[in-house]
Amino acid sequence: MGKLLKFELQSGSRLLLPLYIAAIILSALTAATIKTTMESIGAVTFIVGLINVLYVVVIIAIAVVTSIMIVLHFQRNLMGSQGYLMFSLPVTTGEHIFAKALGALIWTILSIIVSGITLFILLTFGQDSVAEAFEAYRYAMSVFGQLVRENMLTTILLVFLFIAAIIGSIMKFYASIAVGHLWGSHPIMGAVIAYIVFGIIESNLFFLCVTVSKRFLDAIDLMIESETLPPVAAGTFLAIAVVYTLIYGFITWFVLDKKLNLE
Amino acid sequence: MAIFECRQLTKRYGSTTALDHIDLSLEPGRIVGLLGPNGSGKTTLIKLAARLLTPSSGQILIDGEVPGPETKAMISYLPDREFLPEYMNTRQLLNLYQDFYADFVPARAEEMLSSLDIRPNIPVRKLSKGTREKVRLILTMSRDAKVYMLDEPIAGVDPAARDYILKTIIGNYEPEALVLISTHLISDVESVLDEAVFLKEGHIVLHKSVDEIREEHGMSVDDYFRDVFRC
Amino acid sequence: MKWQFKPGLPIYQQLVSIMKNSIANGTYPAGAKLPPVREIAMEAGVNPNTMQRAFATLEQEGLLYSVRTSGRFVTEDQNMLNNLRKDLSGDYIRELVSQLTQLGMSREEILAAVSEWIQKEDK
Repeated sequence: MGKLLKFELQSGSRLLLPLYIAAIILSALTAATIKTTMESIGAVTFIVGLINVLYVVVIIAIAVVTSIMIVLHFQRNLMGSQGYLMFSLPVTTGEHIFAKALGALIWTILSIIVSGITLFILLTFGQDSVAEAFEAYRYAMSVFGQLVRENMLTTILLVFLFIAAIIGSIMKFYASIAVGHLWGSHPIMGAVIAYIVFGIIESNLFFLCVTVSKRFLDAIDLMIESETLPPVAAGTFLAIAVVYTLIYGFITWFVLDKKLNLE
Repeated sequence: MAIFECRQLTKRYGSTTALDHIDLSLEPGRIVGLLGPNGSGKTTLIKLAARLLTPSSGQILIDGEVPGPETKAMISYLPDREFLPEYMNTRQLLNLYQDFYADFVPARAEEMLSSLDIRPNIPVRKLSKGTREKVRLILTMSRDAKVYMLDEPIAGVDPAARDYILKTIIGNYEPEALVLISTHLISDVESVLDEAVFLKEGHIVLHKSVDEIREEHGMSVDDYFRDVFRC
Repeated sequence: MKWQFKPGLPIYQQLVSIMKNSIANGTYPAGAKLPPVREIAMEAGVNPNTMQRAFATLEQEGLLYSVRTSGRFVTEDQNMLNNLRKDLSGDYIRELVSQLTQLGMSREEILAAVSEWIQKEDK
């Protein structure tokens, strides 16, 4: 399994590492030049403006590229010609799916972190006083730290919920692609349709739960009305996210293990 | 002890039956030809052994085991299509195979690649079609597997490359291994085969040694095949 | 390049003929060590089992012998080799006489034609 993960990370780094580096460099450049935007003339303004625009573009690109890469990589590597190579490897179907999902999670988190770093660079160095920026951070940290300490359990649950939600949405894509390929002649259209159908089923289930269980409604109300989310609600949502992930994970596994038909 | 065994193996796709209650038993140390026209079920049989498909009913056993990761470790499968990630170069491919296949012999692959002047840091997408075929074959044959399954290894390949491929297959021969060659180009591989299995519309219509066919029918397997499969 | 084989006969039998010719014409002279089975099989483009079977047949006939861990050798027995030459030449002569007879030549005509041809060639 470790070898599969190594393969996943090697494969993703080709695309994302250059993007990350570009983003960080651009954010540094933007931070350096943002002060001059006000005072400069002509060609310099243009270049500076260009750098700023590029920064925004690259940040959006990281998000978009990461998402598309996760989905496309699953499709190309497992369902296309490369599938003949991958499924001949002496690993179980479960290991394939787990490695892909874990790799996708890692890249998602890395992308978020890198975007955060670029924002940090921009905010800290893009203004006149770096000291002021750190003051602001210190203040924000202490407020945030207080909040976390008072709601330790909830915070931990929320972190897990965040991760579970990411994996869950990834798994839903994987399940759609797997189910889609069952329609041999139009696997991509099949995946899109599967995704839509899954969404419809989810909404209907949600609606069902809401009308049937008052507890469910209470949890939602609590979430909307209170400033600090009680652990029970957070825990419930985490459980839902985990079940969600397991269901889509099972669908993916079942199709790939029992109904595989590469062309 | 049969290393490759089918018991009433059946595979259906919807209303089509690709393999119909196949019974087959193959011993190691042989080079066996899986011969039949397109659509006769050859590729389906190979994919079932490789576990790229699962049976509709019946069994297929590799060295007594049901297809899974353990059998995949024993089987070296060469599909009849491109399957290498295009962005990888041969050095990365060698690393990949070495990572996943305990029976992979890098020295063998390196020797064959360098004798063909294929340099290690050129990505697959920059290689010609013929060179890619050779790379795929080299990777497949550089394993000390128990079963080799080659699906149409010489179709669409120029005569010189064909000779190279057959030479590599012969040179790689191990008395403990089974080599299964699926093809519809019989005359080219005939001299390399020990046994021939004729497949027609999902049924096995013949399983004999090549010598027997030649002696009993006084013609080459290719000619006999044309006889049997005459429309 | 692969060796060529006729369709009607088992390949191992044809290999036996080819090997016999190779021994008789000195490609593999008396006492010579043969390359390993796999090597010759690769050169011939045939299954190693088939080549092995041909070798086994030749060993049975006494034209080859194997020494454990050393390999396979051509016999040094001059009698065997002379008989081989005689057998092979007998085959060729039979073939020649049969062909020429089919062309309508008589036994005497055949003998005369062969002498004449050889004399002309020697000039």
